[in-house]
Amino acid sequence: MKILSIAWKDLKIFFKEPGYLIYLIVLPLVFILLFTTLFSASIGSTSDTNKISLVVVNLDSGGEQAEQLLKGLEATGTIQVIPSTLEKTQSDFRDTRITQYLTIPENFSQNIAVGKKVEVTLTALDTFSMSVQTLRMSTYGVVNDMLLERSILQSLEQFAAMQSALPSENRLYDPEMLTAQAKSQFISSKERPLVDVKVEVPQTSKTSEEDFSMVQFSVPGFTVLFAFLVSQATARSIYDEKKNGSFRRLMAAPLSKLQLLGGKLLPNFLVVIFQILVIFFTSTVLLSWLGMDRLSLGQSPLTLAAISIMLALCSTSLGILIAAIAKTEAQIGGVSALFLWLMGFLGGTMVPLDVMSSPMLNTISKFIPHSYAVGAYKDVLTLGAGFNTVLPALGVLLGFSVLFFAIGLWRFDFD
Amino acid sequence: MPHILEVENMVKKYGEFEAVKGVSFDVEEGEVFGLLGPNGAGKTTTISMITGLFPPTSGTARIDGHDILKEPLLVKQMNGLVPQDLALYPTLSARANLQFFGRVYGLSGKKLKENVEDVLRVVSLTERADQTIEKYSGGMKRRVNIAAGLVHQPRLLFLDEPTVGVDPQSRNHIFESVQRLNRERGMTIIYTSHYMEEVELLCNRVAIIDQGKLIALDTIKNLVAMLGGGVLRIGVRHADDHLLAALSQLPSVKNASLLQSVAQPNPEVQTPDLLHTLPAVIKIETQNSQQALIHVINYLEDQNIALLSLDILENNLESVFLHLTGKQLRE
Repeated sequence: MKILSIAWKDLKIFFKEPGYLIYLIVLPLVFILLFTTLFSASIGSTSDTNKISLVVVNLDSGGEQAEQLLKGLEATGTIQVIPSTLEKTQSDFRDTRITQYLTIPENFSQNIAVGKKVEVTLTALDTFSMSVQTLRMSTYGVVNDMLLERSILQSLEQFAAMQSALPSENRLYDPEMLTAQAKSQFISSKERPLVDVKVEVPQTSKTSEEDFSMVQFSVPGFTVLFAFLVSQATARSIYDEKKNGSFRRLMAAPLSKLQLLGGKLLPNFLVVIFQILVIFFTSTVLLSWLGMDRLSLGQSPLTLAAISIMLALCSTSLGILIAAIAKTEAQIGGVSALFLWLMGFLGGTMVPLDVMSSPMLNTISKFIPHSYAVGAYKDVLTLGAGFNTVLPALGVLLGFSVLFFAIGLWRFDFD
Repeated sequence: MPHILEVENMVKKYGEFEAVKGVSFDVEEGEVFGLLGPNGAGKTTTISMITGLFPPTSGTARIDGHDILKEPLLVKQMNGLVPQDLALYPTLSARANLQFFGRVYGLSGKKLKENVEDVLRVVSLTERADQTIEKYSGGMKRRVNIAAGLVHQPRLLFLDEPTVGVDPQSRNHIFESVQRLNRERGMTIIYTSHYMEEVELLCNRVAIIDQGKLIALDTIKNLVAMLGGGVLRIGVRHADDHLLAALSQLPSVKNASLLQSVAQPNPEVQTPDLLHTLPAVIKIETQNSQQALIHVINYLEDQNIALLSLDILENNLESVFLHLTGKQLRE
């Protein structure tokens, strides 16, 4: 009860302070909007912003039909082909740097030549997105056009073979026979297409029925970054109480130290949860009202809730640690900048860790809780992962929480 | 009268520095007890230990027979602390502040509401109770600060320098509140201050603390009577043992001594005090200051010693403190 009284008082103070609301609620939304808009624009900016970028892994390098397919895709005017290797492409896709790619299998040209059925694979995070649908239809179109030429040639070759099999007096040019044969060939190729376009989603469950967009990337990062920034507000609140003497007054009240700290930390936890709800609500509902892509919540809302709770717990523990270490207002600012912004950057909240290709930075990120929270959110939001997948990350976040809390409690100055 | 507070040889050390050096005293239920001493004497540290803000290095205290170290939560429930700082939440209203502190002490519902309204009446802030504290004057904030220490109706109220930075009108209001709480509700009050006028006005008994030590404890009347007839402080160009001995022998003079520590003059008292510029200052304790003054002046004239300054200190706590420590309270 007394814990709730302290927490309620702190929440009233928090929500009376416009600065905190702007810093912790409005600012993350602004960051998400800016990041989503800018990053989305930059994706297609390599050559022509109207084209869809398609990474193509050509395993039939040098094959005549494969080359023809690539040229055909470029010739559609809607696709920009970006050739790449299988290894790099799979890595980029796994780390969500690219959202779709096309694979042309080995012996593609040779199999077509002998009339053997082949399959090109369009791998995508989300089969229902507009860009994937466009790519699939465009690829079908190119493949069909390519095969049309092939079918005509095959018809004429068959006709020539039939002519040569007849006695010379019977070798007559008959247009009707020629047309009939070609038609038969077209129907056959339509019923039994030689080249099929298979669309593949790597997960067993689909990520979403909704369109995939950059919101899926920016929301996890900025949610985590700003959730940890709440701990600065907690440290500041404890500092303010000590500075104006109200902490002494609370220490003189019949409160245990645990009640006092619990009351000071509970608002941190609740503010983070509130913050996450606002960010997710805005990203899933309000963004579409602004004509922007909306956030897809994946397939497991409970897993999202578990990550959010663990994130709030970790941020809260960090709050007590900062309050214990920093003794002055300037130190709170300094420690917060170090702990929160730097850790946020190194933890991949602003720039995805994969983009930072430095092995050293990637190693450092393993010691930063942000990276685990961002990773868990991304797994659920973009890859449709469930609870078991993110369980290790949740465990690590819990470990960080316990560590921060223990050090904070040990170093906390109640006097 | 039973003792509601018993302080036993309390010591507080910060490393090598000893802030409180074995303080012991008792407070009777229903009295206003003064802790008088200059800034840094150890008053706040002493009441901080008693109210459980931090533990003493050694020694202890009992409130209504309960040891502060063994039963801290029970003891804290009986105490009310009004700290020197304005320990309030400026963006909340006075009522919200008081409700919060009431809840922290376990009040709720009707009892909480009644107590809040009651203390708002005590500090005369009912009309403006819903305004945020940050819009209050300094004096009003001080009054809310006191109300916050009263809301749970403590048996023992600690007021730590409650009038620092307060305008005269609010100061008078605080005095009236303290007197009313004591007179009408029988509340025991521990009042710390370095203003001897306040302690003289409000307190039944006074403990004088200096440099962490309790150097006197009695009623004001007894403390003042200890000095006899007042103190003269004279400035001369040169003072030696011969002069001090001669002055001590004069009629109506109890003792003359050389003041080693010379203070800045106190602008509020407006004495022609230029002691800090004088080569020698002599303190003369008297049995009767008027008669002693005549003898001192005559003697100096006979000896052809120029009297550079003269300060007559009627006996009060200030002169008690001067007598005990050789310095003024506000040094």
